[in-house]
Amino acid sequence: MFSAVYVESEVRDHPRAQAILERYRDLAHIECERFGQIFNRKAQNFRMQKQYPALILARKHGRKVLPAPAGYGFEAEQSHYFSHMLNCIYDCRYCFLQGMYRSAHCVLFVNYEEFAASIGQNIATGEGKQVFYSGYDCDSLALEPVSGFAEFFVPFFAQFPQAVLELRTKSTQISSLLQMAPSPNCIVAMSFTTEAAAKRWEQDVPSIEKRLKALARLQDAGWPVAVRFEPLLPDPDPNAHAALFDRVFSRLDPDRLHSTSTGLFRMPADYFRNTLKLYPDEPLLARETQTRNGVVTLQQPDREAWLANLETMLFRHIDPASYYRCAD
Amino acid sequence: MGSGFLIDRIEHRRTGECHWPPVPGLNLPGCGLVTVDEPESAYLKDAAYDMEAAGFYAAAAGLATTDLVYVFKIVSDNRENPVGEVDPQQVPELFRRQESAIRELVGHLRARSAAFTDWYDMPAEYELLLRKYRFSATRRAALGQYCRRFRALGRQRRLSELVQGRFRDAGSLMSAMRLELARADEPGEVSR
Repeated sequence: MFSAVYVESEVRDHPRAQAILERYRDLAHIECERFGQIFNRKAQNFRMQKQYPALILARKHGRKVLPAPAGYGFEAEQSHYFSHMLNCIYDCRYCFLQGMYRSAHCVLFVNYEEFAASIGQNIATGEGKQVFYSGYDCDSLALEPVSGFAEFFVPFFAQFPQAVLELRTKSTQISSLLQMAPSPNCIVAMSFTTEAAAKRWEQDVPSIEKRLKALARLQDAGWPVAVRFEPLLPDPDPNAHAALFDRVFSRLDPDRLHSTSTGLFRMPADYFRNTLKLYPDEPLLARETQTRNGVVTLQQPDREAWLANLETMLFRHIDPASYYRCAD
Repeated sequence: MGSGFLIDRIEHRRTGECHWPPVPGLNLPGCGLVTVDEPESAYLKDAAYDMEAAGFYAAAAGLATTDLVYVFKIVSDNRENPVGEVDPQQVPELFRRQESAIRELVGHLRARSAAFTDWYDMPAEYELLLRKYRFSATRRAALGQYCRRFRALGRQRRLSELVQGRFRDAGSLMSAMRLELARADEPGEVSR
C-alpha cells in the first residue's frame, strides 16, 4: 500500500507512531523535521505519486477543529470538521483532494489526544447539537487497521451525547466498529455512485456490493448508518441511478437510516484547474463546466429537473425528512 | 564497498538543506546521504556520503518533476577503505557489480517518463493549428486546452477535420471548437 514511511522527529517515539513503524518495518523509515518538507514541496506530481504513495507520520499543530464548509453535511446548529489524515488511499477522479494537495502521500497525524482535547473544548463551549465530520480531507475508515482512528474517537465521542461524529467512508474496514457496542452518536456514512461511475472513476475503492455488505452489517449490529449519493454524475444509462437506489435500499432498512443525501460534482475553481492540469486526458474533467461563486460544476442545462427526478425516485424508498441535498 | 543504495534523503552538510528523492517501491536498498564539501573521512552518520547529490538534486528538480529525479549511490569508500585509497581502476568494477540495480532503476524511470509524456503531450493538431493561424498568448493557451479536451472526449477525428478546415482567423476557429465542445459530452452519452 505504501512505498515508505516518513516520520517527523517529534513523533518518532509516540506510541502510535511506534506501532505503525513496527507494522511497516520492511519499508524505509525516513525522518524529517516537519511533514510539510515532503508534503508541500514544489514540483511534485500528484498523479505520479499516486502510483507509489508514502505514509507520513506527523503531529498536527495549530487549530485542529474547523468550521465545516457551507453546504457540507446535514443540518446542525454547529458543524465542524477535523482531519486526522490528509489524503486518501483511494483514487477517485472527481475528488477535490487531488487538486488541493501537491502530494499524493498520506499524512497521518498521530496526536489524537490533542485532537480530542480540542473537540472536547468545542463541545464544552458550544451550544445545542454539534456535528463533527471526520472524512473531509480523507476517508474516515480506509486506514483503520493502521490508524486505529475509530477505535480511539468513537469511544471518545460516546462521552458526549450532545455531539455527533460522522465517519464518511467508502471503505469496508469495519472490524473495529463491530468489536464495539454501537454508539448512537456515531454515524457511518457510506458514499455511492452508479455502478458505471464507480468502475470508471473510483480506483482502488471496494465494489458497491462490498460496501453495501459492510454497511448492512453495521446497520444489523445497531450502528446508525447513512447513505451519501455523491457525487451525482450523469450516466449513459438513464436507469442507472434508479438501479442504484433500488439496490441500496433493498439491502438496508430505510426506516433505520440516519440520513440520505445527494450532491453534485463540485470543486473549488482553483482545485479544478490543478486537477485538470494533472489529468488533461480525463473525459470527466474535459466536459463542459460552469463556475459560480468560485465553484466548478458540470454543465447540465436541465440540471434542476434531473435532480428533482432523482429525488422523486429516492423518495419512493426513504422519508423526505431524512434527506438533504448538499449545496453547490 | 561497492554496495548500491537508492537515496531517500539528501542532507547538504554545510547549508543544512534537505531533499527527499522519491521512494518508488523498487526492491533496492535505500538510505540517507550527506553531501559534503570536502572528502569525508569520519563517516559519523549512518548514511552514505558524497560531494554532488545535493547540488545535482536541486538543479534537476528545477528542470523536471521531483518524482522523476532519483539518486543512486555506489559506495566507493568507507572508514575501513578511506577515500585516499580508492583505486580509479576499480571504479568500473564497482559499477559492474550494480549493473542489474542500475538497469532496473533506469527501466523504471523510462517507464515513468514515458507515462508522463503520454499524459501531458499536446495533441499534434495543436502545433498544426499554431502554424496555420495567428494566436494571441491567451488564445494560444486556450487552444491547448481545447485540443486536449477534444482528445480526452474521444473526438480526435473531429479535431483533425477542424485542422483541415478553413477559418477566417484564429477567433473563428476557436468559436467553432467551442461550439463543438459544448455538444453532448461523450459519444453516446447524454447529460441526464
